[in-house]
Amino acid sequence: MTALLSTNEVVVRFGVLQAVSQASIEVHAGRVTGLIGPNGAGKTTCFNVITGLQEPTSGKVLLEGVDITGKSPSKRARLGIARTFQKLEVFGSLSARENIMVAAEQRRAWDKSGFDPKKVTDEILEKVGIADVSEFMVGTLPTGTARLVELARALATNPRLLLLDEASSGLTEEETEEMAALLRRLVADDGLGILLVEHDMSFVMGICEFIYVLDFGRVIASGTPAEVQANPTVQAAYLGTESVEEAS
Amino acid sequence: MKRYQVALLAAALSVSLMAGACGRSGSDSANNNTNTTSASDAKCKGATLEASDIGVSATDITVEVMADTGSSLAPGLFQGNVDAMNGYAKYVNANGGVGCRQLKVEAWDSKLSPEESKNGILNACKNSLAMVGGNSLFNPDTSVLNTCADKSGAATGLPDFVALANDINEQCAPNAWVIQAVAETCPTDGSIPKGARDLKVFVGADKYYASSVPDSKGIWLIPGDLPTTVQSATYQVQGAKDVGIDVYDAFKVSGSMPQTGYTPFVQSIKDNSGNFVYNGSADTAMIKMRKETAAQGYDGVKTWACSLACYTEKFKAEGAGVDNTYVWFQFLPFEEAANNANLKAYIDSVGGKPDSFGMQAWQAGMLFKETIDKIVAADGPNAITRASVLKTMKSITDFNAGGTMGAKSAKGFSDCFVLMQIKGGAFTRINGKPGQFTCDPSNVVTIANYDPAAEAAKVH
Amino acid sequence: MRLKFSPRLISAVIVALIVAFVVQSNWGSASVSGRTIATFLVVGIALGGVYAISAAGLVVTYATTGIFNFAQAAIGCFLAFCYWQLTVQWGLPTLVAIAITLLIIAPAIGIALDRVIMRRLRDAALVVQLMVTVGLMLTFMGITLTIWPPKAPRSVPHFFEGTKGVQIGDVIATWHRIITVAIALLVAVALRFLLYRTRLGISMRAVVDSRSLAGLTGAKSSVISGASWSLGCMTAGLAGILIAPETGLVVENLALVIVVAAAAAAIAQLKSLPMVFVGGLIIGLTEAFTSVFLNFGTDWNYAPQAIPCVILFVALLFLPQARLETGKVRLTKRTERLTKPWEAAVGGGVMIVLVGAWANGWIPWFSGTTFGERSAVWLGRGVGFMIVGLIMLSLVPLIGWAGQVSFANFAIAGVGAVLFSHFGGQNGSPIGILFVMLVCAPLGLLIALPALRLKGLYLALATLAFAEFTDKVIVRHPKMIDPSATGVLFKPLDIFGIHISSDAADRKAFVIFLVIAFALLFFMLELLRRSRWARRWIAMSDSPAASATIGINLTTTKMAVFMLSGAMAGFAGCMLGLSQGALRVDSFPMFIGLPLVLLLAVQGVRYPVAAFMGLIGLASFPALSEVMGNPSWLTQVSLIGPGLAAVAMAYRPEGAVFYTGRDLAGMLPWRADAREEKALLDQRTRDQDIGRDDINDLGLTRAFTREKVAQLDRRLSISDAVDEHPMVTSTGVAK
Repeated sequence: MTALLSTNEVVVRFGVLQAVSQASIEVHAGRVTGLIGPNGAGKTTCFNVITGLQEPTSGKVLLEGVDITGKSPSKRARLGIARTFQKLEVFGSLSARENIMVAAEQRRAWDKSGFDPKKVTDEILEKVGIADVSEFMVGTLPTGTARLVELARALATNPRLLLLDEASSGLTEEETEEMAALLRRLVADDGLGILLVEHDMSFVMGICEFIYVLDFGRVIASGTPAEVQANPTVQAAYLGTESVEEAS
Repeated sequence: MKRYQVALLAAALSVSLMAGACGRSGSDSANNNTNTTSASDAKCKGATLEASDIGVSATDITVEVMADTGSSLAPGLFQGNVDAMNGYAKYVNANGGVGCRQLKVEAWDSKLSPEESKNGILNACKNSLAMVGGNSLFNPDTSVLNTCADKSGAATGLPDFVALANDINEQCAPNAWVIQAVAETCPTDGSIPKGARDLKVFVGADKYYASSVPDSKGIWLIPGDLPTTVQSATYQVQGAKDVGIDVYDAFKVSGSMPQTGYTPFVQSIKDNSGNFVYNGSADTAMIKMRKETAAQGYDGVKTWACSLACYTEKFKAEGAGVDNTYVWFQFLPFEEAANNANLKAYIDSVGGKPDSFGMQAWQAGMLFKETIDKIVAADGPNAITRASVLKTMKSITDFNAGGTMGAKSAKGFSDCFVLMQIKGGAFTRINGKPGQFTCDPSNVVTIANYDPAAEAAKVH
Repeated sequence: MRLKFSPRLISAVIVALIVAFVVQSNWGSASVSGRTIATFLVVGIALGGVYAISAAGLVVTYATTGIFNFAQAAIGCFLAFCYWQLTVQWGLPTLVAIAITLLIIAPAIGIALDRVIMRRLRDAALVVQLMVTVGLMLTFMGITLTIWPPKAPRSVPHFFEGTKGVQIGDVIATWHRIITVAIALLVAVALRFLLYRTRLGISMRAVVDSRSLAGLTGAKSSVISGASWSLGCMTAGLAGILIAPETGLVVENLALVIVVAAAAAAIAQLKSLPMVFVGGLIIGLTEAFTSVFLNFGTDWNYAPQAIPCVILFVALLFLPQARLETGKVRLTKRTERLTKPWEAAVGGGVMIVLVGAWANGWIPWFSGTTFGERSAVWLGRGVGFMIVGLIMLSLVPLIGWAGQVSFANFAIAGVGAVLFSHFGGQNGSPIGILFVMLVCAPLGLLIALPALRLKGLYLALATLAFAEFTDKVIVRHPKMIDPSATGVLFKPLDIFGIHISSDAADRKAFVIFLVIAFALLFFMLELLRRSRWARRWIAMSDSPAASATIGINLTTTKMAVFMLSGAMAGFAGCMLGLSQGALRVDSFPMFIGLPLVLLLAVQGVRYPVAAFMGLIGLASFPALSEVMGNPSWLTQVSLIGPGLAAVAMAYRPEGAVFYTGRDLAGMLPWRADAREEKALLDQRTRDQDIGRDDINDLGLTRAFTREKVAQLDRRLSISDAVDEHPMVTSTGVAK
């Protein structure tokens, strides 16, 4: 089965710093894939390459086998890639509802199915569980809730591939549980492929079917959660300790 | 009286009258004023005064002085005009007023803006008998001077006794009497001159330079900020060339140019062994030019000449560095207040701080008074209307402001001037006698068929 | 798409070709000889030294504070006057005067600026930062003009004046100029050393990058920012003292050096001090070259004056392309209630009624003899104010919504005025207006093109360069404004039989026409704010990166807002031309664009109604002056006043309309939500009394208390209520 998304030997070099080297990652539809690694490992850089915000020094990005390496971020959005950001990138001057509306309205440029952006917005607000803050300006919301808005906004573009960058940071345990449930539903019902970057190990191990481990820009291990947890290289990279929840 | 005594008296009278009529130098023209003044004073006694037109009430005559005084980047630029007019009103009111009434001056700030200039004219139209003593650099729409309605509603127009008209529209406006010389030959139909045309240039000072240094050769510094200033310099350069000064090049200078910007000019003079430099721009340009020439170690310039822009306190404060610079102008120097009562009155009224703009405003005030005096002497104090002022104003073709300027008409030049030279922070006279002018019709030449816009293009 | 040659190389080649063409077609009569080359080099390097010193302060300030300081040259000007006062007026020895100026007065100003203003600007939006420094520039210029009125003669002597300089070929380089160049070089090297090799310098730069992180290393950011501003002011003062003898002690000359300084700073990419020196040299040599060897004909007569802005523009284009920026999240009020269409219609109606009543003399305060007699004058001024309001309206979508700070709209209006004089204005045809708007829209677009690759500050500088270029080159071309054309260029407009022009009789109709146009455009903008267009622009402004990832084409979105803004400015321009009647070549100076943005920003860039409030504010000043009989002290205040208002923006970054509107809205009976919001915000402000700087010291020198922790939590938005679970227990130990 062709992967929904695959990166092929992607290298990103900033001057002498090699942020990402020979990264080859595959994300399959209907599955949650994890991307973990210590801080500075290059995870967000990978995301940037996949979404088109960063041009790789070499290597390719393929969406269902089609080379999208040269395409702009907005083109990739039209092809079905959506993401959230590690450093919150909400539209702070707009309300939560408007954040999602912008994405839904934009979708009309390529989705001619005649859907009503307002209705879609309401549905997503319910789905993600933020309907009670829909009128508040996102710049005033607590970080955790704002992240949910970002997630909702990403969903509004009806993506095939969803990239989540530390989506659970700032959420309480309860909220993290809810998000995990939501992600499982998305994968199961809508056949989404999800790639997530996380520091919350229990969250990652609980929800991902396949995990890549990055360190110093290299994929040092990959496999099922159990395999990765048992891998001595991974343990060494993390120095054997779990990362602290409040660190984010 | 015995018959021979009458004949002697008649002869003496006629001699003194003839002496008064010949030779426009001298300050005896004050006599002319006193004749009209005393005639008009006589008419004041016992007359019931009425409000005969806008700006004329039973007790006051209101005039407006419009000048650029309050712009934020050049504050107080022509404040001298306003101060002079206020001073003139005080002086005149202390000496019997004008037209049997007190003179009131309303000041209007045109703020270096064409809109405010137009507003100023509108305001004068509504409130004043006439505009007197003004100096607004940007005054392109003077149509109201022609269409202004008087008390009866007729579009008589508004008299403008302007000290300095920079904009050609004001210069050639039919209802404007311009104290400062006007180089344009204004068509009688009130249209604006364009293209190749005849232009007048005053070459009195140039003739002096050419005669005192026979092989004069050098450069001309032109104020380069606006096309109009560049254009007006071109025919002045031509005039200088025509009287024998080899102005081989002209350069544009601007107020913000640092002193280093003058190095190429000095180099040019060095390369061409020039001995003549004329500055038509502000005093700061001359100061910088002299400093840079000194810094570059060139001492071959024999004639440093400047327009009246260098006749300032700032220039004097520069001391020995600007010694021997010539300045020329067409009013009596402030240093000669002792020789002319009108000059002294002006200087006293501004607390001993005169400037050339204020001088011209004062002269405009005097012209206004002379106009009013003529009207009153002829038809009485209730004949002062806009119409009569315009008519009388246009009849004055030989005004010399009580001897403080050479006689001239509403446009054009007087052919008199004063040449001074600065030494050790003080200006001293070069030509003529104190209190008098040097006049010669050949001081004003006409340059025929000259298109300043085309010539301005050639200046770098 | 990978090109064989990088786009930068191609652009460089294109620029080189253009330069070669310009040089070749404007070659003057001077021969290329040893003498002329020596002149050119000596003059160029001397000029270059002057520019380099001015720019050094700008770059140092930007590198150590993150703020582009428009007031840099104006502060230097003020310090130069102080130096004059000390050394010429009071006769102190030169070195003592320099020491007092640079080591006492300058740092004092720097620390005061930092304490009072700059601290609050750190996280402010770019437009607020820029406008506050523009306001500062005006304030310093005003203060200088007030303390030292320009009439009196003042000059600062050169160093070693009167001594023979160094002979280079045929030219003499004076000692003062040699010293200037040497100091410029020294300053560049010394500052670089300071910033990269000393602890203080590195801390300064670190604080810009990440204040909190820098705080963790023990660098007390409040002390450092004070030091940064002091350094900036000292460099400004040094520049002022060295430049003043060359340009003369004139406020205008000294303060407007900022444009050239910006160009040199751009060449240095706003960070490299040695490159600042090179940048200054490049500009100086270019100007000297032009002066010695070139001779521009009629058409491009003023082109030499445009050299700095062209260099600025080119330098900005060659800056490394910014990756799609990530945005800053600003805390604002909780809900933004959009104006309903009927409210907007009522608002527009109120505007028409207010202005119409005023125009007819029905407002009691204005009627009476003064207004009656001066009605034509005041109506004319009213026209001017309305036009300013129109231009400000055009800025609302551009700056307020799309976050694109542009100073070029006045220049676009100028071009509109000039075009209108050729196409329609000269025979009073209203169709001409539409034509002009159609042309000005793509003109706005032209400015958008550099916007595509320039981020915030660089875009603002590019628009400044564009405005300057328009003023000095485009508008002054004889085909645009004929220099020998005199008098009024515009015939009255005929709209439905009503005459509109600047003639006294037509002015009332003109004012009413303009307010109706304003109200219509206002209404349109309020509707637009509710549409997806505005949402997209605001999204793009808040986070370009995120916008791209949801499929927004940033290019076309930016182009759309620039075109809309350009068209509106074009309309304002037609009216501007009609109201001025005559156009002079210097009718549209670049630096008028700055106060226009400022006027809007003080009221609030995001709100169309702010444009109306701005024009009311603008009009109230001369009105007040008139009522008080035009006292002279008011003129002096008018120099400083706008500057202070802008500086006050540091405390009211959202704009006056925001704060007043919030308060006023509460008074309307149907706006219960506004009252709730205000109560909530008041309580939050009361609770949130923990200051920014307090946080730095917590736990280091002061203990965590329960209250402080609760405040911290609220600050970090972890909890909303007062008594949520604090992170620290009552014993002061972290969980």
